[in-house]
Amino acid sequence: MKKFLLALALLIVFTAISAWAQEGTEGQPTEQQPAPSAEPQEPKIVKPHATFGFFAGAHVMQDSHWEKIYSNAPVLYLGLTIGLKLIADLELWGEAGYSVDEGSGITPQGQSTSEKYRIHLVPASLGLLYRLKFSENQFLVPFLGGAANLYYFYEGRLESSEKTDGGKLGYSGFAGLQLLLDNADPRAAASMKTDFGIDNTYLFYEFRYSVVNDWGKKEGMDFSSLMHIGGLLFEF
Amino acid sequence: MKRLILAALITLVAGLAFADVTVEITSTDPSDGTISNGESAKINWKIDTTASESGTYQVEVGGDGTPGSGEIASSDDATGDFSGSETTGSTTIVAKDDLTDGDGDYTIYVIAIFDVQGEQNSVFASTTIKLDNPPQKPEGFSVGSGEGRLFLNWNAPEDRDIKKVHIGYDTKSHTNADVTIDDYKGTGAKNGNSPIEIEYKENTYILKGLKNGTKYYLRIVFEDEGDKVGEISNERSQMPQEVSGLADLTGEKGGCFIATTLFGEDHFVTKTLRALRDKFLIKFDITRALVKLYYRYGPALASYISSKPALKVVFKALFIPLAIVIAPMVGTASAWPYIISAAMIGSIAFALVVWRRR
Repeated sequence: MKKFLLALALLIVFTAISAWAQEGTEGQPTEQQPAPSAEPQEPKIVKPHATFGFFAGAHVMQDSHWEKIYSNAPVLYLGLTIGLKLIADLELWGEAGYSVDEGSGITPQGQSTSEKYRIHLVPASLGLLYRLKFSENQFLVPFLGGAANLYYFYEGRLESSEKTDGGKLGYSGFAGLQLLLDNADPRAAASMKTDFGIDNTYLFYEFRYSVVNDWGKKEGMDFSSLMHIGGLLFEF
Repeated sequence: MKRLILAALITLVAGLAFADVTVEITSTDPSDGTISNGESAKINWKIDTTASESGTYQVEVGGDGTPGSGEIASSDDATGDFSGSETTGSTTIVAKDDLTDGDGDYTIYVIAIFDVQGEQNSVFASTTIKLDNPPQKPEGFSVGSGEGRLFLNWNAPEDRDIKKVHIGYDTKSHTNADVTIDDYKGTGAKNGNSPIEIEYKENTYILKGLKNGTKYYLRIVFEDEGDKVGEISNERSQMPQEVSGLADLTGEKGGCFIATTLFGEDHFVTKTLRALRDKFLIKFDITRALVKLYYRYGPALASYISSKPALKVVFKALFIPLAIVIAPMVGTASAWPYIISAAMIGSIAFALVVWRRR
């Protein structure tokens, strides 16, 4: 885990430095190509002001109670994300998703039974996200952020009216990388721009650590998890 | 030439007219045509001819009466010759060899094959033999434990005509060799007293309303369309027990957050959320359920939240913007301030965009 975070941090730093360096040389005259003195200026690039994405991922729940009922297998997580650029590439960021899992109830002695339980999770997040983006054509864009989470949960015993639902608050920190797809198919990218107003399309991967237990409340469900998420992100 | 063709046609028509062969099934044994595995049926038949034609016969299972469309029966008397004005015979249909697709109706064809003017012709008669085996002994019968209930599972029976399943439960074990389902005399299940009779639809059943901590002994038996009851299953035992899901395990009470605790009875936020409840939430099943939970768990949560100053701040920060947004929708605030604010923000944003483009 620590190694993974260290590698991710290094990747972000190196990418940022390289992008910064690239930014610094863009538009400057080189020795081979002196800058024309009275050339018309390039059209001004309008930076995207919002993002929209959809993703699939997996929760790996950290609570031992969860494992007893629903096993420690990753839980599929699907969702949508939106972002509104506030200052430069700092975004007000929100996300809504859905997960469902099914497991077996246990006896007081911890033995598994034939009673089946199903839990639905609808996590919603609101926070800030910063993309280390220094040019519009930057191939790899690291990002990181943090958010407050509200998880709506609904757990029910199958073939029974017994159910419990409610909300859990928490927070999460995340980091990831997004890969610009526009260069792979410039014509499609141009079409996306003209037809839908989408400036950039990215494939992204995100690692997230969430603590969702009403700020350390001992009693009650704990949805703290590690998450791996991948999806498509559109800037417009 | 014309005379030759005419003569040939007259000969052909005359030949067909005289070649009148009929097949009749005179009886079957057993007379109701129903047998089970290990048994056989005898089909008695008669072939009549009007001009003493000769030919061969064959008895087929299935098909459509055309020679070779079905399977020729396995017994030696399933094929042979006929000649003369009347030929009688019988053919044995052996259940295990000839009726191999499980219980159900099988059509048996007795087919006479003969030549007319060098052309092969055939006629047939048919009857139905029904294979009706008693249901098999239930296989894979197992019982899982639940909270006040037991989960019964069994393998899908091979018999196609299973109509009912009889379920026996009792708090006593019955292991005598001649045990029947009626020996199980359990009471108290919501499904009814033992034995319970259910229509066969699936291979699972939940026995409800049982006592946790009591050991139950169970068997099942199948009944088919012919009201035949099969061999009883092996006995299984299981004990319903208290069962926990994640909510029970963690002490989770559920419920929603309570604005009254945070803001007071007459606060704008409280009124707004109350209006949301009355105008929208109680109108739909799922949100009505949430409201019910609110009343169930509200007091406990209210006291908890009020004991945590940090929590109160956080929830206020969540509820205030929510109330502001929904207030005009639920009628606790006039829509005009929102419209004016939106217009002002929109104008400023528009002016900024125009200014930046210049």
